Amino acid sequence: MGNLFVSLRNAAGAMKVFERAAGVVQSNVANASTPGYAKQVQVLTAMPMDLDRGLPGGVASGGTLNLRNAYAESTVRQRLTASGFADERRAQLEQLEPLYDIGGDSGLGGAINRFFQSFAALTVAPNDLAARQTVIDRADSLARAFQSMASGLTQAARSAEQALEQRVAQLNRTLEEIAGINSIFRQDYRAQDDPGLQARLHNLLEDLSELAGVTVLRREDGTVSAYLGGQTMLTSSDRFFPLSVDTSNPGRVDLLDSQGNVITEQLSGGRLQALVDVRNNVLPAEQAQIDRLAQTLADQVNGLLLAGADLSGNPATQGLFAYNASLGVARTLSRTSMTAAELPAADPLAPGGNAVAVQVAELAQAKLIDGYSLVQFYAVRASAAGRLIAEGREAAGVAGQLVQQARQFREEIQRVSLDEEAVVLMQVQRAYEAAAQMIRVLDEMTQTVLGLVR
Amino acid sequence: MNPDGASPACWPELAARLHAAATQAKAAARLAPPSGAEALLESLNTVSACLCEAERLCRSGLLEQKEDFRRELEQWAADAPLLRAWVGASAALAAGWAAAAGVGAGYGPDGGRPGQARGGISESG
Repeated sequence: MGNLFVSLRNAAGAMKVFERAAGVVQSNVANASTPGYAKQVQVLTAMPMDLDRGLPGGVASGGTLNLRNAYAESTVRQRLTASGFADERRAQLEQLEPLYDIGGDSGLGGAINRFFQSFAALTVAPNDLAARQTVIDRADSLARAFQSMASGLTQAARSAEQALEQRVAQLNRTLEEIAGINSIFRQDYRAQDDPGLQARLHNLLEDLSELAGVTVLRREDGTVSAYLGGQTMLTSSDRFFPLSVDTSNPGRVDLLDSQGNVITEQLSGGRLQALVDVRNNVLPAEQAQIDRLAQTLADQVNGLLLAGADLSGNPATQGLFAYNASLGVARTLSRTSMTAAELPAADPLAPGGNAVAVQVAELAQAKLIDGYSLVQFYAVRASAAGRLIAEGREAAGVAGQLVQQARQFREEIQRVSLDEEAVVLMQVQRAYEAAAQMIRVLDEMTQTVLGLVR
Repeated sequence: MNPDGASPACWPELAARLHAAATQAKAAARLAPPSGAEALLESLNTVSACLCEAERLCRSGLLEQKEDFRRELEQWAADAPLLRAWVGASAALAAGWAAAAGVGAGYGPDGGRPGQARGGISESG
């Protein structure tokens, strides 16, 4: 009967292993669709078999192996950082699209065209009050178009600031959650083996990476530390260090660490950098170009008109446009109180003529900015903005595809295969069938021994 | 004492071991798989060892004070059908898992198509 017991002991040992394996399998199957979950594997170890020395062989549990791959996780996080930057930049730049209407008659370009067309019409009938009033009205429209453009850019900047504050708040909540999981790991080292908790932690690290480029370090006690741009500590152990946004400087926004130090320059990718870049660089640059256009137009038109004479032959006393450069030319551009009769269309030496009106009308074709006419310059700006938006969309699309690719690579390594899990489940089934067989053998043994003891 | 070193006092001890193992086996068999598997196999192993030891004592001619053991053995024999039923139920449940995962006992060259559920067991004793 000795060999039978060896077999029984081996079966019992295998059952113990199967029991643990089945527990792991149940976790894998239950989490097959859980985001961030990495497959767990029960390691099986063959035991030495030498019956003469009392070594029965069999199989033993070698512990649980986590198939999470650090390289794959890191790759996903890096690509999320790039994707977060591209996607946020795209979203912010798309706000510029309705501002640059190049449809011809509408928007700022149309307003500039119509303004100069009104002067062209004035050259034909310089003393016609209706034509003069049209010029005044078109000047009004042009000023409002510049104001609208400036207002749109200001609104886009404000929107970027608000988005930045929301994203920073989101980042701080993520840091707090990571610190909470770190705290659990510190209190109970066994929690490191909890695949659900690990999945949650890695999801949070992905969220963090999408917001900002971070360096993640894993410590021996299972906790993770995250550093912004590899420099500023965001979380370590069960502590986290919230960031904040400084909007007190009207020209820009800055990111502050928990001590109030400016750490904007440490941003390297992620949604936060996109927002800061659009707010501090892209939008101010656009605003400056529109201000240039507005100032050039206003100064050129005013300069010509101030040298002219009105309907009564009196010298001009004011220009057609006014602005406050310190508050922003486009934003403050307005028509002065000049009336239709006061519009100086004639040369003072030839009252009633159209000399000044002709000069102003000719500005439409003059190369006044960077070798472009005023309308051409606007078209170039609109084209540049359109290209910027298109590039932003393309970059966001490519970055999104790269994230998918990295995730697929990771999935291939650590995903749960229900087919593979099914094999283990079958082993458990077989093990119970083996137990039933054991009971049959015991029945026979029982009858034999009963016959002996009765 | 007999030449093997066994004594009549072995029987009460053996009876106690059999009683404990049988009780543990019945309790473990009622647990849902796989949580009871380890305890079940341990107790079945102990029962096996008790039976083996009893056979050895009998063949050694040590038959005094075996009444307690005989009663425990008869109780074990009476409980065995119920134990078989419980283990059979656990085996069916485990087969259900495999079936739910898309693979059953018949999976393979001689079984059903891959992915075809073939739950159940052919024999449970």
